[in-house]
Amino acid sequence: MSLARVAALVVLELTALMRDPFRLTMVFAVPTTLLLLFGYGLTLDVENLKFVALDSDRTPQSREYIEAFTHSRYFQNRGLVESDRALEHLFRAGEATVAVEIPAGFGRDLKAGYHTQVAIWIDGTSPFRAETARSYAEAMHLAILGRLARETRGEAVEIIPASIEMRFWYNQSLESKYAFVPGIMAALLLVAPAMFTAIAVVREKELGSITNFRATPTTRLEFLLGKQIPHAAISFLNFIVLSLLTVFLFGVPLTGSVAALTVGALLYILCATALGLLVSSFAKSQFAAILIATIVTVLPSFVYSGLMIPVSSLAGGAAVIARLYPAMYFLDISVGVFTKGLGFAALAPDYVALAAFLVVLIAAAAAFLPKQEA
Amino acid sequence: MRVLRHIWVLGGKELLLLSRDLVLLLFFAYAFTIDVYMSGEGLGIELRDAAVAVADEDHSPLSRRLIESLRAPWFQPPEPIAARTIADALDSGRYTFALTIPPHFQADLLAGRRPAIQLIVDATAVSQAYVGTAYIQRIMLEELTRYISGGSPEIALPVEPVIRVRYNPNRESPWYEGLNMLLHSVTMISMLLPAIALMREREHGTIEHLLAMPLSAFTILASKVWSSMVVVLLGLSLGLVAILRVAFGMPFAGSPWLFYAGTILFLFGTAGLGILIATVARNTPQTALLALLVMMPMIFLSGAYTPEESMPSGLRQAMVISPLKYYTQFATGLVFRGAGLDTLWPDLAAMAAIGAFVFGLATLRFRAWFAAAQR
Repeated sequence: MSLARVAALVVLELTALMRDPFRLTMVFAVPTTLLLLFGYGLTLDVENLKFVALDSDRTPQSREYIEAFTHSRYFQNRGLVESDRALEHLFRAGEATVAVEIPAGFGRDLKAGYHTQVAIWIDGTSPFRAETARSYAEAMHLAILGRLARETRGEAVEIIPASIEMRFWYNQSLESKYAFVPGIMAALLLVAPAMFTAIAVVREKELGSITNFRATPTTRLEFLLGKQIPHAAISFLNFIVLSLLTVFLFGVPLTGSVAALTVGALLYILCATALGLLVSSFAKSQFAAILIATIVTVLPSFVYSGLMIPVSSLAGGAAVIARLYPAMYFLDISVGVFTKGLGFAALAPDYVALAAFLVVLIAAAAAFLPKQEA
Repeated sequence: MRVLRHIWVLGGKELLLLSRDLVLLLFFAYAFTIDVYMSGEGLGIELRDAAVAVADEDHSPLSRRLIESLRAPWFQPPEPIAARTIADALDSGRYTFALTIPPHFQADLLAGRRPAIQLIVDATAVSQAYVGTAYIQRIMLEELTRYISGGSPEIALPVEPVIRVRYNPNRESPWYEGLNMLLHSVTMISMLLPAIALMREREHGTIEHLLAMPLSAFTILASKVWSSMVVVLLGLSLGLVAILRVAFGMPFAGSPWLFYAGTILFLFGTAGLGILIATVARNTPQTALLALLVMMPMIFLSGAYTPEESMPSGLRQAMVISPLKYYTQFATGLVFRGAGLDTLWPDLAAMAAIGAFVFGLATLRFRAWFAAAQR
């Protein structure tokens, strides 16, 4: 392998990029903009659930029950409805997520100490929201009961004889951003580098300039490295920008080892660009390269990386794909270093996995790139 | 009539070109089927195989009962650890939950001293932390009440909450996750296809051939749009029938005709966005960059991955211009809740308005560019 030839190819690629200022700007602006949007926008804090009530009782007790819901920040009051049909309509239109239906006689039964029921309806379309809404509603119900019982019968009621104390570690307020922002960075550092590298190679094929490679002593590996290195370098700059934003703009403290994060990012970016090289070897045209790169990076990097759902609870094919994909390993490193304060030792398996990916991806890309036209 | 024939022939050319790229077709098939299947099967946000470590310092019959109540498929078998190793265990990422039952728990409970179980959660796994904490809490309370009341799992409350989940009552996530993934494949491909097809003609100079022919800007655009719609509608139908209907047994509560009508409105919007991108960009790499910038926020902020209600209000308002927001509301309303035209018309109207605006703008820009090139 001739380093001089690789260097010449790197300079060539960078020059082409410098002469396209719009593209150069976008290469940095796109990941930054996406981090800002997703960092603020992706949050699992379920609040403002649309709440409606159907009060067939209309006693002080039933009103108090409903008010407890409407005064909570978790529920957003959408008012009272008069009939089952109206309730049905609101659910169908997606205008209600949680509804409480209080039967006639509720207040009377409660005072008399009879057993009575309230119906709580939840829209199950989105399972995560439904599950969270259900636990809010249950907790709310228990709290209200204690209060109602005290007021109507004047005695304190111990409903449950023990308590469960909860501590949320690494992220005490259970705010999504501490886990999400470093994770989003991991996803973005896969999508953009893979896409750009793939296009850079296929572009030469499509516009015919690949004859320069075919007609010179340049080897396959030299050609691929010449494409990969400039895009990896740009992505590494992007990594620095995104990390600074994570710490200074989003206020996510970097509690672990900076060196561990940097080494991980370097390996990962090389994997991402190598994935782009592999895509380029399958793609006949830029058209195909963009579509294939989009299909194999955009959704998988967010969905199968552990960003939304921990990899340990993925099932079936998704669990397999997640492990055969570099994103989860760097997500482990990124979240581990930022939020859990980890260093090299705790993350060793992730580095090994990324290094293995790198070797396999480059070898596969070189094997698939024909030196001669078939 | 001539115009229609031109549109037909030019669109056919696009389809012919696509049909020759077998690798690309395989990736399309993957995006519309296997990807949908895997996300439906694997992405359930419900708790599954959660790893729990338990430090039992009580060793009483009650504490053992409590630990045994954490069962499959929600939990992996709880692993006993010493209380002082909890910090290391959570650091290593091997467990998401660590439960500590304090000494004399059972005795304190029976004596009415309200003892406390401690639950430590690795909150970097945000979604699991939320859902799992609620599960564990509910299971523990049920088990405690069963113990106290001597067998009945019902909490002897003066008022019993009867909780019913409507639509998708078992919270079957394959349906929800699968449908969302399918909509997202549709979004990506329907936007990229016309954008790159147009850009390819520009880069290769074959658009000069088109310019030399008696074709209008409209004819060229219409051919790109219908051909990409055909591809996307075929893929969508494949995913709907083969994966969601057959493999997942998803009921389709609303009208399929209305679903396709809404889809076509949506596709006008995404095709318009694609063409707009192609007229702004100068080359293919620029097109790809701009497409990512438009596509990714549309998909990930659509409310499919994180609850829409919890987004900051500024962003929520900004998403008003995203056709995918209405398409998602439309599709979930129609498929799961069986909503009809009477409840879905606002979404349809919004998609039509966005489609008309974007497509109109794209046509104007393309026409201006086309006219300049013809001179």
